[in-house]
Amino acid sequence: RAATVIGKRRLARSDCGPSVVLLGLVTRSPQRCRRPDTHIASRAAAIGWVPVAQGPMPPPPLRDEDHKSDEKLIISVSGRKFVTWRNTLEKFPDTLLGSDEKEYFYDEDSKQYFFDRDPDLFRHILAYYRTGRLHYPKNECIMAYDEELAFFGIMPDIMGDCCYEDYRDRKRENNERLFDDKDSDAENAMPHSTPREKLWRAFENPQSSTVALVVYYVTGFFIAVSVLANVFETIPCGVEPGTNLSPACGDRFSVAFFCLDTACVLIFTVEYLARLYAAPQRLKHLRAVMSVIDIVAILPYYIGLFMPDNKDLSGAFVTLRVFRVFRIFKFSRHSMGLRILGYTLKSCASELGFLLFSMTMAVIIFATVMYYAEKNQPKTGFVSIPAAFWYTIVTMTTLGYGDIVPSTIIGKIVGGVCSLSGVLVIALPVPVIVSNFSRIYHQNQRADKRKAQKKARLARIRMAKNASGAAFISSKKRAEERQRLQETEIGGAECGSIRGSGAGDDSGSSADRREDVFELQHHHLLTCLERTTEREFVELDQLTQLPVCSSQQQPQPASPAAGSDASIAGADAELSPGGPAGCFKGRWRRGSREARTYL
Amino acid sequence: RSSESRPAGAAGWGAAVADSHAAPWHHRPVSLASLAQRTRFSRQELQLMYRGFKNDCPSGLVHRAAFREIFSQFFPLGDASAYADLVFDSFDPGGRGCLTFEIVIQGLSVICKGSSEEKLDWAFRLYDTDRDGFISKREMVQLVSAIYDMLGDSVWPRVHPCDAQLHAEKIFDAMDRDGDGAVTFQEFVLACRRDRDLDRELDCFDTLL
Repeated sequence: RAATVIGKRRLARSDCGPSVVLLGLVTRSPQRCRRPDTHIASRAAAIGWVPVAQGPMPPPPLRDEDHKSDEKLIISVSGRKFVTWRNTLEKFPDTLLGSDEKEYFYDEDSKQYFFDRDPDLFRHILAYYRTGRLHYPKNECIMAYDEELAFFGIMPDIMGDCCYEDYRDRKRENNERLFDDKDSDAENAMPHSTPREKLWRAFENPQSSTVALVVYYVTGFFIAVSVLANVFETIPCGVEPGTNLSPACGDRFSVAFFCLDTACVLIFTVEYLARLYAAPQRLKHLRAVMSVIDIVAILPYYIGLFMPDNKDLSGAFVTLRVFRVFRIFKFSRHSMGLRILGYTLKSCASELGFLLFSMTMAVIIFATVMYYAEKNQPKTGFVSIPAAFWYTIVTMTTLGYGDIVPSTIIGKIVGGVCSLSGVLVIALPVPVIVSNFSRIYHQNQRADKRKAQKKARLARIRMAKNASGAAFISSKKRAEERQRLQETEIGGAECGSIRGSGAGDDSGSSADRREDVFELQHHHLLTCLERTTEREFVELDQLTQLPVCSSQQQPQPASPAAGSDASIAGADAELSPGGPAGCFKGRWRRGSREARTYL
Repeated sequence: RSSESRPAGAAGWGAAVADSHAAPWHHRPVSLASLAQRTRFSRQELQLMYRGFKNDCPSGLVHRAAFREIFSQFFPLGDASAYADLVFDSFDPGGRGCLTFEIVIQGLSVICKGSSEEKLDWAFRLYDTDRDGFISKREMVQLVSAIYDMLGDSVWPRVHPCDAQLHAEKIFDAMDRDGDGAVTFQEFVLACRRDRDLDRELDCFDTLL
């Protein structure tokens, strides 16, 4: 956080050789070395060394004869005047105001330094020089503030502790937001991608194409079917004739259920392999939570397939079928809320850990006390401390099954205390988890809303750009007309044939006084570009009236295409880069020049 | 020494707390004109000094910690707190433990603009921490150690723990002519004037404002 300026100075000592001392100036607060009063005080205090010095003191540095003692500087920021001492500014010589760089902004006429920046933000910049601490004003936009700091050469890292946390949080939030937007932009803007990338994008973002959407819904359907099948195959359906038993549906229609299971597992396997193929980093993907869940969901089936029909192992096999319930976790790809819940739990791990730990402690304490209070009762349920754990947990969570109840007075008292404290212990970490969840959920909502609104916003921006682009083109045409008029007037040629094409324009050269020099030169530049490439700038709506370019290819020789002109607003993204001799739709038209005559 | 003016602002409890045991919370110095008269600084110099002083110590009182901080910024590699304490004490804060602007300025006026005798007198007070009028060997060692502490580690030749002691003893023995274990002011002055151009050396610490 500190800026260090390192210089070397040799202190000559006559009897023990040169001792080299590295001087590092660590700036964190106002450079007191640059303040005259502290300078005087510390140099004066050095008189105390003279009696004990073993060698003579070096002579002091020569004084600058026209060294001015402090003067006041006027800094005008967008008209608002700030006045300060020169020394105040020079406290920090590695910033704009503290160094010679400010001379670039010196205005001779008014004898002040003029900056065309925001005066409200400049207050904070100047406060930094005055107090040595940089603060972050909470109601200002972080980007604007950052820009001001960058302009004046102040590193934001030297911010005081009072404001640094807030600044970092806002900055991170802002970066995330921009990163999100940029991410989705990058995704949409990729023109060519390999099938593998397309597949990956289809899996990750169901909205990207209809195939992806279909895959999304199909997998969702099969997950639901599989889970429901798991549930229903345990329901007893119908009485078997001849016996009083009523077997589960799974046993009765075992073939049907087996086929259903096979179909689901096939789909899941295909999906898993496809994801594995499409993943950009396969190893990392293998370790991801979702793919582990996928594997766990389909593995029991394969293990069951390859396991021999052995009585010993069939017990284990049945256990494995339990893992089929993990298929329900595959739904988390389909549900944002589920993912957020999982993320919240992960981020609240410490609170959950605290909850678990305090519960365990309380359980052990109460169970021990209950056990020793109740163990001598006849027919008691408290046969051991672990048995008492069950009672304590059921009581603390206020369930109260009633399968174990205390019968002594002490047992009942302790039981009462246990249930009261259970409520407290559980209620403590819950608000933290809830607020975390709420924050993350709302963040997500906002991101989704932003993405939805973005399309509308971009459309509006594009329309505005088109409007300005059209205005630009018409003004360019006017400028060209005027230019040609000038040329014909100078050359003395007839002007009738020339007036025919082009937009109407005001007569006389007084009109072009209104267009400033910049515009005229800009138009001239664009005209040069047109000539270079034998193209012509046209308005966007005229493009639709042009014939398809392939038919026009013959009359003109193929000329190398220039890139899109950045100054023509609007259709930048739509311009597809064609090859040198290729035909491309866009703003270029191989215009015929016969309509115009040039000198 | 100027008397302490009533604390500005809170006239109520401020006046009640005017005894010397309670720590004053605010101090306004005497007028610029009278201070300019009393010390050898000009008005502009006083203004410059006070502006910086007030920036650092808005209450008008300098505490020991402020001195330490100032010195540590000028001598960032070593530990300047011991020497800063000695200098602070040499300005004589009295029982309050903090200095006012007038005290500092008057001290600086002596050091910066005084004659060589006055400067030596201040140096003697710096060394003589218990104010008994003599410099003992212990006080000399204390001062020299404080100076060596300011160097820090990155020096060559390296500082050994006994260097300060040896240096102090050497100087002390040279100063103490009559060998009675205490250096009086006359012995101090004599020793300082011997073998060196004292006036030039004392002057080389003058700072142009």
